[in-house]
Amino acid sequence: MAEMILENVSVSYRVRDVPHRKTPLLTEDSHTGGVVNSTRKRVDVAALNNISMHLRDGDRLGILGHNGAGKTTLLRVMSGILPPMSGRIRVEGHLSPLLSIQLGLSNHSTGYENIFIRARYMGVPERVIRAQADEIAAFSELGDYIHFPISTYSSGMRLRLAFAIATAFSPEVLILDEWLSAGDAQFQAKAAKRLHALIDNTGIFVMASHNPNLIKRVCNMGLVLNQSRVAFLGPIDEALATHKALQARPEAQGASAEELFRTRVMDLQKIQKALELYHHAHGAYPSTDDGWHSVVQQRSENWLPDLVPEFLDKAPRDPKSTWDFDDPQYCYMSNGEGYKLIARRSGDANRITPDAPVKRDPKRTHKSVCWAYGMWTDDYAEL
Amino acid sequence: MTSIKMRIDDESTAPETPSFEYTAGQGGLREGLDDIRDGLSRTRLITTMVGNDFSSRYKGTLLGAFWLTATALMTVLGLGLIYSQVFQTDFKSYLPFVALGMMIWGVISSIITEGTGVFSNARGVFTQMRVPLSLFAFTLIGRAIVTFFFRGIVIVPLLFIKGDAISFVSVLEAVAGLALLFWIGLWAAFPLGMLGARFRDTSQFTSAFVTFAFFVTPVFWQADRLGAYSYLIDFNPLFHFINVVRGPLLSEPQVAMSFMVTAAFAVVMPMIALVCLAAFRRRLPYW
Repeated sequence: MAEMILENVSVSYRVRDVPHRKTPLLTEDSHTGGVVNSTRKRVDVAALNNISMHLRDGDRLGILGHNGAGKTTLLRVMSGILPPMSGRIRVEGHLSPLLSIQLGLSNHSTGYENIFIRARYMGVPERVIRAQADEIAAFSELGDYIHFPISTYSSGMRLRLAFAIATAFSPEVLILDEWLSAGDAQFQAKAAKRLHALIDNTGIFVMASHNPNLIKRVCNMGLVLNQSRVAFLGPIDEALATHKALQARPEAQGASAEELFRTRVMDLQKIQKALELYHHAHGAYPSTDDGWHSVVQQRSENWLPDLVPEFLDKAPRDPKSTWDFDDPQYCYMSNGEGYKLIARRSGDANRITPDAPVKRDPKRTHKSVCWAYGMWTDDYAEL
Repeated sequence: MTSIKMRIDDESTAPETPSFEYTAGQGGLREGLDDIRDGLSRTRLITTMVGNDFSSRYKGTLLGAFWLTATALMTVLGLGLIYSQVFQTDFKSYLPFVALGMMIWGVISSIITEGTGVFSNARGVFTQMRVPLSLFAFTLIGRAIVTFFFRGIVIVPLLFIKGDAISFVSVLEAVAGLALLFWIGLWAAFPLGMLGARFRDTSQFTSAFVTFAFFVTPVFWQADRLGAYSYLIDFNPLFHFINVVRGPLLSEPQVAMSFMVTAAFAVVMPMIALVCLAAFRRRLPYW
């Protein structure tokens, strides 16, 4: 029996050392951040305001909201990491927040040793770790590398190991900040299956995501956060509608096909520019370990630091499929030597397959169309 | 707060009590005690963290953790050779004196300086995972104990140089004194760590203070060297901390008094730590 109760939970962060009056205070049309209260020397940011809810076994809650709406703060409160400043929270049931799955991995230890290290951080009893260790090693598909220090791993291998460990133990309350995934297309499919199984086994599941499609698939309840308050809490379809209404921007409606096309081309040029800068600084393109990466706000920072994600925000979205707001619009694959870049109309992150013209899915016809222009650099070997 | 148990572990022992419960403004003391109990229950994680720390520092080096021994040996020999001349004392009795002094000072100073960072350095962990804060204090002490073990090896042969027989009782006294120091250090890490997490000046101030304290505490010079002013030393608790370990082994004066002062700290420090935990445990993730 798992249960989670929040009563009038509020959280506010105090930002110190803010130079008085030099801070660009958030204007009314700003879409980022919580509610700001500033006095002479410090700034209080209300991150959560009077949140109440009662979750029981079987509830799968998806948390929606724009950047800075309070999603991650709420997940931290639910995970018992951040005690609320006022109000009350009570969680019954073994809880496992998977907010940062690579945390605790030790570079100098082997993959196999890291299974134990990371699981101990998660509070798993030794007996259970020993019972699961071989299964985790097998799932990560690292072969003999499992006995190598993980400092020798590529980032993709590390992620595969971290994923395998994090999803090996079944809690009663599972909390995710964004969907977890790892590896190439084949591994991603396997990973998605494992994560779905884990979710099916838990009493209460809570996930924050920017991807409404995903939330719609795995959640039966939705919470929309706006300006640190609950804008909606209830059935998932209504929650998605509320979220959509809050997200709607003028550009999303009026853009013509040519305008969309032009913006896409400009976006691609900007991404290319960022890639060139990266190449200039590092001597190689950011490698994707031959898995497809999608240039989407949340992820682009990780592998392409020079690429400022904000222009993706400004790009007009496809007016016909506004559900895909946060779906990747661009796909990128690189072996370090060269890269392949494709603008896509839609498709969600978990379904991208290396063969770019995606197979037609009868249920999702309009989503399987690829936008026509891609870029290949000479060094990139065709699959 | 019970530690996270996995469902596969045993389904029949699902907890009656909640996994956790926070009501703003209530239950601080109970949470503080729970935090310490939780920290103690995660011994495997503590040893893992301590082990990781050493392996990341010494794995692949020629001497491994015995580099600590080598460094300690060089310091002690250097100081011993020079200052036995400067102070015009007998090399054979000065060497164990300075060796013990330096090793114990190493424990004290590392706990003070690392103690101020015990929570601020662990931010990345406790803002992403639900772990008891006491875990980091236990890890700090675990690391200090292992470090002392490797550095303290140097002392053993030097004790025989002096030639005096050391009684079994005095060895027991010294070990008890050492245990008291680690005990005090464990609890001192809480107030120090919280100050360090809240005020960025703390670590700068303490490192300046530790340098100052090193010279005004009889670590490598004998207290009676101060002549008429040597009574002032009695007011320096750091002297007593050193004397509870060094005194019994080298038959120094004032050992009984030093034990009383140290014992007083050993009683008061846990209370201070608990008050800090009760008052500020919940604030820490916000700092």
